[in-house]
Amino acid sequence: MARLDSIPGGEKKMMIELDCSGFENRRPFIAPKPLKDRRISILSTAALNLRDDAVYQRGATDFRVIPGDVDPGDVVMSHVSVNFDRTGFQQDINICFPIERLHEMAGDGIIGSVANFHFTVSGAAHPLELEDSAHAIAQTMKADAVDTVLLVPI
Amino acid sequence: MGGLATIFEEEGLATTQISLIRLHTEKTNPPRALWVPFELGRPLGVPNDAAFQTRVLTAAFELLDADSGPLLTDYLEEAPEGDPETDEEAMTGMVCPISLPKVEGAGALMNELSQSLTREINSLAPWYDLAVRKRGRTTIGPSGLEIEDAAKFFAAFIENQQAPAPRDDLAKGRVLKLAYEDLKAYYTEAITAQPGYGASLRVENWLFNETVFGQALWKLREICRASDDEYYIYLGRNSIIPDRQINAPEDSTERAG
Repeated sequence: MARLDSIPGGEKKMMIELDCSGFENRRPFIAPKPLKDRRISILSTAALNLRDDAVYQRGATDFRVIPGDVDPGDVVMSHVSVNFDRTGFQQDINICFPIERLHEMAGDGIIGSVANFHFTVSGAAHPLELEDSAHAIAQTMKADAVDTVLLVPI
Repeated sequence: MGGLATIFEEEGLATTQISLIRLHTEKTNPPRALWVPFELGRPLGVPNDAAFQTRVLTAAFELLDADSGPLLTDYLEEAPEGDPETDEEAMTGMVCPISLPKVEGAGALMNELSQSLTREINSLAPWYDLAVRKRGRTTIGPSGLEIEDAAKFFAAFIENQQAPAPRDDLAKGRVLKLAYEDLKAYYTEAITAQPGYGASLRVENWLFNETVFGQALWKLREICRASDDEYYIYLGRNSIIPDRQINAPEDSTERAG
């Protein structure tokens, strides 16, 4: 379980002391619209990449693109951390990149549509270090008519 | 993660997110977040359970209906911890999953590591092949090496840190990291094709304590921690053995994210 009291001491200490600053006075909030009208893209911090892409390096602040019609067999993980479970991802990509669930929800009319492009970064970096990548990703999402981002950690 | 949501929202994209570390979400205060009580690495809760995953997603998407925020909501449904019945059978020997070469201590192991690893990999091959057939995929690949070549390089490095890397487009330490992560994936994909290994800790305990490869990873950690190379020191500190397998967890500085 990802409750702090179940995480080992060193990892827990790091989690508690982790610098999360930089967003204290930033409070954007977009007004709601019906879920059935939303076009959704995934942003994963699991350092996933396509099999033929460059792997993530230590301290990476760049991003990778995962097509909406990706074959799950083409997606691998190059996250540097060993302090999370990978066996779930090995058994089912949707455990951290729920692309098939999104397609099902779109097929059922629950969400409007699934984006043509989805994105990954390495969550080992501070979000402020990822800001340039986030802006670049946002531009591509908007060009793909995306209006909603589902952020999924690892 | 919460900071990224803020950036996207400022860009005009509505966001909803899953939160695994509630404290971080409280600190970054993103527009909408669903805290889930699942282990790190499993933000949707349960692999191969589409209904469970859809319930999590539905709860995350419901936050998009709110007129104001920020919102941080708790998801209360727990993920089942593996399969208690088959896990118990495996723990007590009623299920004998794989006959692996006997681990006879680090000294004997290291004398013929490459051969021992090869035997162990071969013994796991039927289960790895079954896993690939069942899942239609493998997550092995980031090293760019065949698993046998990854094992040879891994063993050669442990025996002699001057051993050349099998590819020269990345630093040797990075190739080493990718090679042993691919080997970990081979082992864990194979063992999770068996009954009794649904819980990640059960898999981890087996890998690091009951296999030749696991013994070699502990040895690699020793080598890296004694190195004067900054990257190998980094690997040895927190990028080979998970913290929950180590009784010196204050060494950890790497986060999953």
